[in-house]
Amino acid sequence: MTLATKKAPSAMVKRSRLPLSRVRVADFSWLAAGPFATRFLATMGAEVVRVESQKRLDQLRQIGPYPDGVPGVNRSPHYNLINYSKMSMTLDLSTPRGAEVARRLVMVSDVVVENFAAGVLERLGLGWDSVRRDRPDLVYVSSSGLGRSGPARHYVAYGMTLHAFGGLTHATGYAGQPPRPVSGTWADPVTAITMTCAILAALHCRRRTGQGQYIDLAMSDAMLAITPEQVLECGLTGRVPERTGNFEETAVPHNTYRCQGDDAWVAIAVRDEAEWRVFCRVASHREWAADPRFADAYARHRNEAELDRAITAWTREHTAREITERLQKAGVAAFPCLTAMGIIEDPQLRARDFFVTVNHPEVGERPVFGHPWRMSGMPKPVYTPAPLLGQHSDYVLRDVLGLPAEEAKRLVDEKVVY
Amino acid sequence: MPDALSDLRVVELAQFIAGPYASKVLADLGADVIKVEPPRTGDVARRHGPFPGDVPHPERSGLFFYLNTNKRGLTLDAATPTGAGLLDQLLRTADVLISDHTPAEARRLGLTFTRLRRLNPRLIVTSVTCFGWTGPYRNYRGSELVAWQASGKGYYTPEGVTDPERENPLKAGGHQADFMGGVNAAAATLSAVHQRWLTGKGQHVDQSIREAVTTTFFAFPMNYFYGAPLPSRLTESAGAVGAAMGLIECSNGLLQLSMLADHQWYGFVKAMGEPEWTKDERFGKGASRARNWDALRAYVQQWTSTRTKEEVARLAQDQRVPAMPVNSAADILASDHLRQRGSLVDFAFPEAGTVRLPGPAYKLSATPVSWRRQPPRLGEHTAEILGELGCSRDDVVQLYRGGIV
Repeated sequence: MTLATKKAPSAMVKRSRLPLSRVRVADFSWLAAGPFATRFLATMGAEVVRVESQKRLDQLRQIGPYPDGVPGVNRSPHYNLINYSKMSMTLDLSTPRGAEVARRLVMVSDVVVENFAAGVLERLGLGWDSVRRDRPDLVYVSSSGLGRSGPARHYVAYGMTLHAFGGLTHATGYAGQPPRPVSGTWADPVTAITMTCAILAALHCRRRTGQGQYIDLAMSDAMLAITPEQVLECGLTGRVPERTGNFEETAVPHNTYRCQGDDAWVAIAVRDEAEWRVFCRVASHREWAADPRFADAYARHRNEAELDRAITAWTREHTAREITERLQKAGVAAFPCLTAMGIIEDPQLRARDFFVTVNHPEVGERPVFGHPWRMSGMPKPVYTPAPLLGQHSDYVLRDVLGLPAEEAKRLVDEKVVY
Repeated sequence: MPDALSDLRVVELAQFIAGPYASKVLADLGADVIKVEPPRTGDVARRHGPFPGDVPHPERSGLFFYLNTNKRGLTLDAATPTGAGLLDQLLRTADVLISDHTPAEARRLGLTFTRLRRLNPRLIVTSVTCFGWTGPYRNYRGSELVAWQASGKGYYTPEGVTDPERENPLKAGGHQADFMGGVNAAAATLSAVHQRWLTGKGQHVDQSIREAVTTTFFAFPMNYFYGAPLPSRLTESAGAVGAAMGLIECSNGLLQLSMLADHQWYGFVKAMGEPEWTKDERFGKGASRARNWDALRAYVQQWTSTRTKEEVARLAQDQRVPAMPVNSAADILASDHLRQRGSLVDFAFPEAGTVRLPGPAYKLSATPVSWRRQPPRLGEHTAEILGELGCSRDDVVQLYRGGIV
């Protein structure tokens, strides 16, 4: 599968002028939240080493669909997306030598990220309290579902359970109907970008003071922080808010409307009276602006169902693209509800090089989603394919840790590097 | 230890959620954030509820309160020549400008990066807009609903649609896209701060809110790039990946149960006391459990219907099964876990007593998030900040009379 995207350089480009050049990250996390965060760091020049093991394979490496239906630990689309620009070494941490090598890696790193169950790394001598004595300047992140304190700290979680715990599931759905959970991955990337803020702030603080620190990051806290509305409403009014569909208190009309085409929809958001008059003109229904049912935002909110029916009669006659172009030209917010194919083909994303093609040794040239922001002063971000399992074990042992060749070989033979 | 970002001064020229949340992240970590609001009306978030006791008042918006902790506030009409001059003076002293203007709006206000760079070569200018600063849609208007629907997430919210004509695409609860755009903009800004350590120079940072959300919408397109077909919104994605997951009814509400691996299913069987029906061969294999989810859920609900969602979650979690209650706002405010962990902070709210807000999204051991000040009343620090720029008291009065501040 190829796509007309900019090709990324296949060899390591110069990292020296990137924002995080000379920052090394030992990444003991797996699945999505931790690895997503370290990918943002890797793309900006950090040297990120994923510490993995065949004995405890990242679940993401085991999720297809695999190209040509051929499974393989290096062939997962999700792993290969979330881990590009990084290195991978394998290490069996349950062996004493494995834990020792891991400790040596930590000692030459600037950032540690982990999401083991509480206590696991402590037992291996890799907990914050034991490594901080030798490396007080480390930034050490423990990522977990509900955090490392509180009575439910041992709870295990996937993203969907955190949408539920953090209040998002309760808040999402049609008015008067049961919750309709947000599909797919959300809590993990929300946690990842939140973690990225915390790491970057701690590294900035370290540049100023020389001091590192421990970051206790709960996915539930990350979700709560971006979902404050219902908690605020309950606290301030005593009401327990329910679901309200696409309702927005300061904008009306504000909904998704059926358009011409197969299950095609357009989102429209009209924010004030000036925009409402423009909207009526564009829709060729100037009489709406004078209709007492729709005359002002108060009336439109009270008659929102009628209003939406009237608007749908107009939108059904046009494609979502036509509606968008006409409204946007007049300064009213609107956009097609994009399907997955709509995302892949979107002219704006294309123009901004949102997709980048990387050449992976096992799956060949495939597009990935690129770095989520643009920086005018940053050299081209680093895009190298996701590492094969253990691809960089030798490099890390020899070049990063400085072990002699025979010792590195013995670690492989004894299945410590495994 | 000083606060992590106490050496940074941030000027915020943004309204509602995305831009103000980006600078709130920085303010809570110690940055000196100066919020610039239009005189008289202020930030539109001031008109957005909830209000204590449902009595609207521009100084009592709960949303505004949450988004603007730890900031100082200045009113300024940047469209007047004198106002623009004062803004320039302020930006000479700043490390970061966070703005939510599109390129066309920025040009009208003279806030192009080319000009600002000459004003202050170390200034980092972060634009947080729906579609980003380049490309054919760079001047398109955006909103929460538009960003969510432009991201791919929206079309599949909800998923598993049974009546496509009646179930229109939804936004997620609250303002997930705007907040996500804001956290991304904060991370992007801090990235530029790191590069400034190396180069000594500022730069323009371009954060699209819709791209921040699209970044999370990778599963369907990536599967497609690897040869799989694209699903319709009538599909339940959990079934597609072979996971038994969904909402379960308990005696006092819903529970989210997510079982991806076999050992999680065995754990849940144990939590339920190993009832006979679990030996049904439809539930024997992972993919088969996902396929027969409706039948499985009906059996499970026989057991959960007499137990609370919190109790079911606890019994399941004792066997290491990912299950959590679907919390309402009242559940969240009453949660022992969140209270004991300090995930909610109590704030004195003007004329509403104490209000509990979501606390910081992370706990930093050496530089914990500090609550230094309440959000600014409209123009609260105008005289103070103009004084720092060298304006006399007379100047301030003149500027006020002129409607500039």
